[in-house]
Amino acid sequence: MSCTTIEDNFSDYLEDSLPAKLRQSVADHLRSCPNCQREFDLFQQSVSALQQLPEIEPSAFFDTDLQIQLALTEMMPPPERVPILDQVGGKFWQLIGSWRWVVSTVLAFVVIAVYLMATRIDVVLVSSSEKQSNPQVQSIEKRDLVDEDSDSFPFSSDSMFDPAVEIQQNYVFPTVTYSALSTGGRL
Amino acid sequence: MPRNSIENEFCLDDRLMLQCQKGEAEAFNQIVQRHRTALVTFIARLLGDRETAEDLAQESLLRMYRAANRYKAEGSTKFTTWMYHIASNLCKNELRNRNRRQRHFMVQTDDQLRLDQDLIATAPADPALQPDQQLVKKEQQSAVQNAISLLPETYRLPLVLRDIQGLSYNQVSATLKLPLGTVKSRINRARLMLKDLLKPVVSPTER
Ligand SMILES: [Zn+2]
Repeated sequence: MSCTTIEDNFSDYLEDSLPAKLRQSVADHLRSCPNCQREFDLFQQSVSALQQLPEIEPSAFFDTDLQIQLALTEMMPPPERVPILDQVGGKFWQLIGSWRWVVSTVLAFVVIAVYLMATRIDVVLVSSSEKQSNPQVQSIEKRDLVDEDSDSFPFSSDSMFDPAVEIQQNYVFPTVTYSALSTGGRL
Repeated sequence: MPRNSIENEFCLDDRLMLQCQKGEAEAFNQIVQRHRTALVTFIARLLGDRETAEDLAQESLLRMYRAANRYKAEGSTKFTTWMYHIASNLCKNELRNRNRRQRHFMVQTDDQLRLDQDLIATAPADPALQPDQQLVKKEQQSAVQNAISLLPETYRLPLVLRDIQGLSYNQVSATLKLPLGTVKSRINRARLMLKDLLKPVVSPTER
């Protein structure tokens, strides 16, 4: 064991994880070399000073701040439970379900109109006035679809260790939600 | 601590994560209470800055919460390494941003020293010591904190995980996704650097 290589073994020697033979040769060198013994003492004291640094307690605001941020996260459903497509698809059919009578009425009018158009020219006016009811229905449908998009949009599936995606989620979330809410409120 | 109780501790975190996946909000609160001090200490000692430490500790916990459903309980030490892995990544980003800022604006290390002093000032006093001993102790703690801040990131991270957070070499290796041999030699190298930096502060005669 030489003065230049002994330092490589300081940690293992301190933690007593050297094979017996090597440990003995480190011990022998330290006993015969005051310089290395002094360096090892310093090493040991530095490590012990490091290990004795006190813990740092979080401030009084830590929990409240975190609770607020967690509550914001809570407003979004957990990402894995419902895949985005299922969610959008499911809600779409639900939506069609609740508006089933409107959809079928409109379809019925369209079928009648096309039939009448094919048979009589003068009924075109009637059929176009019937279609006036469509924009209203469409605007309601559109609004509802925006709402459900805002539930699912901020989630992408693999963001566990990707800071970029996390940051995007953080900042996209409030904008989308509030714009969706305010649109919903106004319409 | 007997081996059995250490394993129970780890199992408790896994159990809480499982409850969290089932939608029990209280379970994550318990996770927070169990680990918030460790997270703040880890990041504050690593960055030498308490305020950023609290922000990043909160961010780590938020990420853990959002990723809770992807967490797979495997017993052993998985939870700890998962938690420190998330926090370490945030710290690496922070250190890199600081380096970039420093290069751009030529910020002097005086700033760093002031931050470190803040950190020492908020550490609780040891009631077992006399006032003058306490002063010496504080000065030493301040010197140690400054010395940590002077270490390169690749040495600082494993050193803090090992000697301040008390992780095993295997846990440090799993946390930083580095081979065990690399981790061991970096920690030894980091301690040697620390020893040289602290030479004027720690006296070799005192035992
Ligand atoms: Zn020697």
